[in-house]
Amino acid sequence: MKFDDSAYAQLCDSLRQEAGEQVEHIGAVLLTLERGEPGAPREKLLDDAFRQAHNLKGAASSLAFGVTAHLAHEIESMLAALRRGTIADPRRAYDALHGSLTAVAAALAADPAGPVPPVVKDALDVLGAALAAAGAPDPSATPVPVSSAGAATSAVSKAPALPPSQSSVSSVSAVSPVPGAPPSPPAAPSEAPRTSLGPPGAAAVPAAPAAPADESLRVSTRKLGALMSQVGELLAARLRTDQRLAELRGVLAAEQMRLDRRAALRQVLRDDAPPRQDRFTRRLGEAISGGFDDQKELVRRLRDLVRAFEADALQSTILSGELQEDIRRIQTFPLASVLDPLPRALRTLARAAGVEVELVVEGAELELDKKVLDELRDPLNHLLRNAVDHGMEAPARRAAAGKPARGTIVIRAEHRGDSIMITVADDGPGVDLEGVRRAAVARGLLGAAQATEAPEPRLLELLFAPGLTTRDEATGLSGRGVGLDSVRTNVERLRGSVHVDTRAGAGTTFSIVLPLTIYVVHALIVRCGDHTLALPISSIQRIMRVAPADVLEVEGAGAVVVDGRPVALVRLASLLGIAGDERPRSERLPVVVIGAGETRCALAADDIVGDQTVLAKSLEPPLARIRNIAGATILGDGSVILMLNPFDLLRSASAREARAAGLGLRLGAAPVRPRLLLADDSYTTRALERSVLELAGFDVTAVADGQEALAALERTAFDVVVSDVSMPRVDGLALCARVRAESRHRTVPVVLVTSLATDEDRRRGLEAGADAYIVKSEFDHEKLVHKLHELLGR
Amino acid sequence: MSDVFDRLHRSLARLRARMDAGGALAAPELEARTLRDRTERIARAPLRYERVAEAIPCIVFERWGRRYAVRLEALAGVGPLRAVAHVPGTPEAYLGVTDRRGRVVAVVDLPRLFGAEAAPGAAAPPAPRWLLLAAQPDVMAGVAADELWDIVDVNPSSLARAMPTFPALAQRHTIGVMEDRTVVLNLGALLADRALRVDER
Repeated sequence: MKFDDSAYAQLCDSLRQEAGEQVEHIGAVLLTLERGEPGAPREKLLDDAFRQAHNLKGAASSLAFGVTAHLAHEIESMLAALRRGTIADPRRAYDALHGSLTAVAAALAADPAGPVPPVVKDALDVLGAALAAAGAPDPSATPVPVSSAGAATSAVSKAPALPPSQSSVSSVSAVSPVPGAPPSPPAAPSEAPRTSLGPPGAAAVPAAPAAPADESLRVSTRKLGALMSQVGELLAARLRTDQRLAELRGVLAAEQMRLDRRAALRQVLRDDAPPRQDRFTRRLGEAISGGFDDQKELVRRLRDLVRAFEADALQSTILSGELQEDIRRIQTFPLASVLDPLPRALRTLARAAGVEVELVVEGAELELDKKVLDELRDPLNHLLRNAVDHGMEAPARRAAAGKPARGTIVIRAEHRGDSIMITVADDGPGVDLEGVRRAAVARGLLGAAQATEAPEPRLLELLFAPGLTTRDEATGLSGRGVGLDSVRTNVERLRGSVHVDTRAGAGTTFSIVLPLTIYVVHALIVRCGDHTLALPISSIQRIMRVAPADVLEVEGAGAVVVDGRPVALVRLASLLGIAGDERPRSERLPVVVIGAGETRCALAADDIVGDQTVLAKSLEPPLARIRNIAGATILGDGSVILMLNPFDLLRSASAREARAAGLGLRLGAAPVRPRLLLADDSYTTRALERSVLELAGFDVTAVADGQEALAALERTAFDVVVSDVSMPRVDGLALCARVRAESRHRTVPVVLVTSLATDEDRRRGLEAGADAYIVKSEFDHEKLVHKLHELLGR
Repeated sequence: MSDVFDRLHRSLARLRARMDAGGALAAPELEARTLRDRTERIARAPLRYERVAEAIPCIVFERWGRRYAVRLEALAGVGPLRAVAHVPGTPEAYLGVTDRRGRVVAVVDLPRLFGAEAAPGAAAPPAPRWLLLAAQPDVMAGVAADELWDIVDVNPSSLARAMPTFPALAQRHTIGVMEDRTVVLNLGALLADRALRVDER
């Protein structure tokens, strides 16, 4: 077999891929060992790591990756020393091992026959020193189990013609673990020509036959995508089959009805005909009876056919579903493939930063498109680096703040309908907003006055600005101001979004939301004019029919009461800019209430068609991203219907209502909505104000009096407070005074909205520390929203 | 004007009389030359169809009375266009999306893309019957056609350049114009043009 350039390149790719997995495996084992976690016995874990290192060495040697083989050999030696228990300072040994594992990638990049990269040399030096301190024997003399691949395989130089036994793919992939194999003696040098850095005997010892491994085949993602497309067509064809089946059932029902009618007529003729029938009656009876048995037989056969068709359709449904799922599994990988290496990376980062951190990963089993996973790797690494460097105080400082000395970073992944949300949360000090202000001024992103007045959401948004860093000097971890910028760039490349939330002293959370390219979703199918549209059921809170009399008017816009609260009512057709049905004003409207968090909207459709589980796909360029549209799905009859994006619909509804009411409301313009505390003892006023303020883009927490407001302020940091004055227990004036007296809340703007309209009332309100005083009799929402935006510098 | 018609009628009457008498329409030598010329014209392939080394095989199609040609190699497929779903919020040039082998394909209306508008009071253009799906890897789009006319080898040297009156987008992606006014387009580049991209982030 000719060992040509292409085959060699493929083998090198295989080696690099396999080496990456081996490094991760060893790293994970080391972390387990280091933490002393209960589970597999220490020796077994070390054996496992040792075998991985050994396999790496064997495969690297056989492809003339001498630097890598040498490094792997040193790792083996250190693992052997750990196994023997001769290491006096295990922590130093683990450091050296982690460093060496990190250097493997550099070694693989440099090989073959290249000079030793500095990073690899450093790693080798550190390992050597640690081994020397441990009094380990000469690594080259360490007996190691070697697989069959290395048995007769000399180092392979590029593109030589090798004997079949030495050059096939299996000769490399057969470098597999030999569980329990006894150490074999090193081969004679003459039998095992070495690479420049290859350890003696590394590739020259016969070994026990390798256990058969699962065979794998590399398939391009393009081919898989094409296969998935065809499965999509198969699904559409299967759905068409369902429709044909429904039509066939219709034919059967019609035939059955005809047969029943005929039978009834026969019965009439038989029971009610006069004993002496005239010619016409006799002929009528013959005509009705003629072919009756044939028709009965036809109905029977049709029924059998329908039953057989139903069984086939069921079988086809099961098989096509399984096929679709299998291909989806091939196309997707668990998030764990990205998250698993992170604990090891975190360890290194934490050591470098001098902090103690624990990483908690939730949702690693979620499966994503491989392309998405590849693009996620860097952003997650950046966020982790960021969390360690900016989000973790030193143990002493944490202890002083009443926190556990060891910080926690939680990476959580969860499905959210047609998207996935990944959050990286730390329990550190929160974002240094003053530092952001200074940095923004230094970078010229804000003027000094703007920086002083800029609200928190604006400052947090600046974290993603290119070049902005709160560090005076760049460290090994961060400080160059490129990390979060690149995170956003990568995430947006995936058509996702990223935003940050922070609480002083409590920590920071970065949230990445990514759309899913292909997903199965249970959808409600609605009709608007000539358009049939789908809406994910998961976004729907209520489906109802609303009589015109139930439609309220709030500030010139329609609203319906849902669960005791007014919710903006919008015609879906007008929201989408399409023609809907002209309906009589008296007719009840089918309404779908959608919501995200506390923001809700009632959408009036022309008709609700039904619900269906569909395979939805995102639209592709040139239609890269269209407001209100999440994708499309193909129904059984081959028609394409659009999948609506509920989050966009909420934003569009807000903007539309805002325009309609002339309020200039904004919702969703900023990734983080200002938190507003609303206190009013009137349920109706509270509900109305809440609805308007939510539409205006505020994250509203509503309470019934000043005492509840103070309790809420204790629990949560709010950006602004809107309060009535006359309330039980603690009134608005007292609330205002308490807010001003409390240093934590002193800067939070307070707006009093009250029916107390005298100048004296107004004066008392302002003296209590209110930033604005709005009288209900003069009250209009525009004025309130405008004032709030003004106070928040928006 | 009446003189002209009188002369025409007289001439036609003479010809009819000659035909009725079984005679030739013109002098024998003139008739032979006419027939020879006609044969040569029929035998001669039109210039644009001549197969030359750099000939581009193109499919000629029509939409809204305008003829376009695109290279065959720029196409991933041609087929009947069924069930187009209009996408709210997209420019008029997008007729909507349709299903092609399980993928959702954007359907572009070339005349509208190049600025054509229905005359006031005129009927809306008919629903297109065909879809020419582009083979551009980074876009999933095709163009609509009312009729598919022919597959021809276009000689680039016989093409006129894009006219200055063309809209900028058409100028950018026009390979040339045939003598029968068919506009030869670089379809892949046209559909991948940033001007067509709808990205409302």
